[in-house]
Amino acid sequence: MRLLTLGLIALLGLGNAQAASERPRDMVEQSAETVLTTLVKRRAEFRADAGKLEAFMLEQLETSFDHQYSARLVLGRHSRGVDAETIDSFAHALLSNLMRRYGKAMLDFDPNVDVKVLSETPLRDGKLMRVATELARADGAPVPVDYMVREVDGHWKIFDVLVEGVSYVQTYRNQFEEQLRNQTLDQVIAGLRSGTVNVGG
Amino acid sequence: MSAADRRGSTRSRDLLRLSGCLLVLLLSACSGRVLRADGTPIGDGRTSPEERAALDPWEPTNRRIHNFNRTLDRKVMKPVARTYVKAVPRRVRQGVTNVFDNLQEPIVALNLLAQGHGQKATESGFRFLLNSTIGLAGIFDVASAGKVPEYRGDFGQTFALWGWQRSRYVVLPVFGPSSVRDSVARVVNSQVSPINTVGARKLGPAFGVLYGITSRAAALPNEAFAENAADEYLLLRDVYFQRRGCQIRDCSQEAPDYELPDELGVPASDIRPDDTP
Repeated sequence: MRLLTLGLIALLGLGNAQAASERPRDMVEQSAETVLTTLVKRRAEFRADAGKLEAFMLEQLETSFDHQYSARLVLGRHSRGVDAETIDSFAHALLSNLMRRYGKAMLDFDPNVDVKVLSETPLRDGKLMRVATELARADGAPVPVDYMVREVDGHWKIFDVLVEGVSYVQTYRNQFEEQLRNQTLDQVIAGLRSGTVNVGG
Repeated sequence: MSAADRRGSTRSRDLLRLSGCLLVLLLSACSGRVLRADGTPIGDGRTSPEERAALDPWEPTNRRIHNFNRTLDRKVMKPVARTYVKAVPRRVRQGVTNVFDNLQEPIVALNLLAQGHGQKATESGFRFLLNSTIGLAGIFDVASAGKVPEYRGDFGQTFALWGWQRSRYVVLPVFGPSSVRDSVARVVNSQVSPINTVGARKLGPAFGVLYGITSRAAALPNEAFAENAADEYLLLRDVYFQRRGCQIRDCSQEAPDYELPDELGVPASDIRPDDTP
């Protein structure tokens, strides 16, 4: 189970979501394919320069990943009463930390995969939508990768990715739940930035 | 088939037998149902962190076994797996993995059938036929090349579908995260899987050892995953429950157990999606 690599690739499969009229499933399918193609095309370049890989990843994430919302879900009840600026710092500290640690693994990923959208389900009174996809691989059974999306100002934004049923948000929520018992949110953010605090997943 | 599922080996068979005996003892202690306040069963894949803790009544023992496994891995299994990856060319390793996957295929087909997936079971059986013959005893995965789909199917899933959904968390020596149900499934698997019945028993212990090494090697790319986790034990337990829950039942059309900001009373003005610095 290449959870972390797939998770990151899936997380990145977020660009190109501009038109509100576009269905979430089309957005998910198209962007996942864009990321996979780019990783193949620019592999040599990315290998030579980790900075370029990080820039590409951040650019993809900023297009249609809902940082604020996702970070609030990761913090769960600890996000109560926390202002938007602090949430932003947390979201970005977490993402940079992840990329520093796992970015390279993405380049070792076998790009011979095929994205297939299976279903699209409105949830929680239509506030959220789950787009279920399958990554078909050349070797091995297909891997289920699902995206949780919500509509914000007419755009579809992704806030969680589930690889083989393992949710990015849920997994980090449980990890930070542990840390926030002994530390303040500011301490956790500082730790993520300096690299002294890492989180599995 | 997960990496953990591939770890059966002759060398560890005795250990497995021992775990099997232990399990029978444990089983007698876990026939009770664990229910939520609203009467729905815990352990159905939608478990919250609190509920996961409730499904881990043997946490102190599990943690000790987890620590033992980590030490064993650091000192023996990981170094051996790394050497294997360095010494053996990629194509050869792929062939070896294919042979093991192919030997497990009849078990996948059997379980798919037991779960009522006749079509998938047939395809799985067809894969086994193709790969065993044209694929030269499974070395080449010609079935995948010919677009015959590959599925997963194991005894744990089958038991769950037959009604054994909730099961307490168990960390097995050597094999790692499991549950009582999945451990029993593992014992059943070790008795009927061709990897043991045809491979290890007929070809000798080296076959089993190789199986263990390839399984560990397959997990090497995920190494960074658990590194420096706040609590590695809890991380692995959490991932086990999430992943297994969705292998056991289709959760592709439900929301995970989120605490949504608006339901927590966070004002809308504090949720600013377009604020990307």
